Amino acid sequence: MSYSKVLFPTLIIALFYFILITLLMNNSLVKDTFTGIYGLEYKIKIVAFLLQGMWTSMSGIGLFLLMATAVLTGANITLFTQKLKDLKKQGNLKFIVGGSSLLGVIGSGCSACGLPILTLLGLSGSVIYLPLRGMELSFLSVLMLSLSFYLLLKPKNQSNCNIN
Amino acid sequence: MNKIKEYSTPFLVLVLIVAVFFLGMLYTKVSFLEKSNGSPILAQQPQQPQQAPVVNNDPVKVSVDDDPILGDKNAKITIIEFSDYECPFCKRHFDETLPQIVKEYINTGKVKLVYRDLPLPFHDPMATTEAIAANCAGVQDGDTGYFKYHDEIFKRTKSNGNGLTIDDLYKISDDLKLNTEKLKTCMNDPKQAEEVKKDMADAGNVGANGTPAFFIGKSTNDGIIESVLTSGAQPFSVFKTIIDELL
Repeated sequence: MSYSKVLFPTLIIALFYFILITLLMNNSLVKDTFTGIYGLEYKIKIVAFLLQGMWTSMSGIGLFLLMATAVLTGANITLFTQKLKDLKKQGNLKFIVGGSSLLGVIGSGCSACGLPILTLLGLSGSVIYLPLRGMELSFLSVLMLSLSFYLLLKPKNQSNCNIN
Repeated sequence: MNKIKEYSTPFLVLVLIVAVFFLGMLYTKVSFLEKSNGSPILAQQPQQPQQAPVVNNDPVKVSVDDDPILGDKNAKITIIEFSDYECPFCKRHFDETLPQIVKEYINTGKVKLVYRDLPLPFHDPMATTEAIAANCAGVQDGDTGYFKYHDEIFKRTKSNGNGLTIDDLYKISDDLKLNTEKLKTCMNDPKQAEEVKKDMADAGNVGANGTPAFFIGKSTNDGIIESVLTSGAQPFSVFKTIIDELL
């Protein structure tokens, strides 16, 4: 498996994930912008400036975790896709990929900002009692994605017939 | 059988995580219902019927209520800010973005800012106390006095609920030449706490459950603007784009 086959799709997926999460944090504004009667310039500006806003609307740790989750999600999906045939043969689907990326989506944002993703699900109430106000979910997501990444990279044991 | 075993562990881990999360949410809601305190983030709901809570992302109607106004009361555009004095992102907005909004739009009479309270529970008790203190400064010295006090809180607090003490609030009053004894009496008045709770309830009704939360819309005679929520400490460029579109 060449690096170029892994790196490029990983970065594309990571970028898409990152942009999606950042814009979801202001889903009302984004939805109104895209569905409202506004000029193209306004729509582009809102999206661009909301992406610029990730530096101010998130903490340093939150931003790092989001980036880590995005890259690991990209890497996981890329590797999983490339190994799909093998996985089907082995019957070894990786539930951990979907679950941990979902955790990363849920845990994104900050409690002070209202964890917009969680509020979409009506679930923001529980995390305020966590010590890091929900950032634990992001940490857990990075951990699980890293584990999944390792498992996907790990070469499978092959039994060889030695030719004497 | 081996395949079932292979699938079961990661699946069970995922189910466990989701179940714990839902249990936590359920526990939180039950606790607050038992205490008749409504939503954990949104604080107490008034008894009278209110606007139904927002369940989608459409524009909502937000009232300026009787809250303090910065700028020309007849300005064409209104920004309603729901904020928490102990929120670090609200402080970041105060430090980095508000000065630009004031300079370019408020001082030129194009925009007025209405400050409404949304102290978050995990920043209490000081978040609510500071909100009440600022309101009491406004009682003594009008909107100008309110925003002087508001500025001093944000300048002096370290945020995250650990910023200021009660004595620090009294010192701000002294520094601003307010009547501190009157401030203390006002802060103990239950009406002030009710005012903050009303702001929190209104915030919940319009879908603002985090801070800072902004509603930017064209001013109306009845003080109710129609707007979508802009959430978080967004850069000045976001506000500029929205305001210029409305002007």
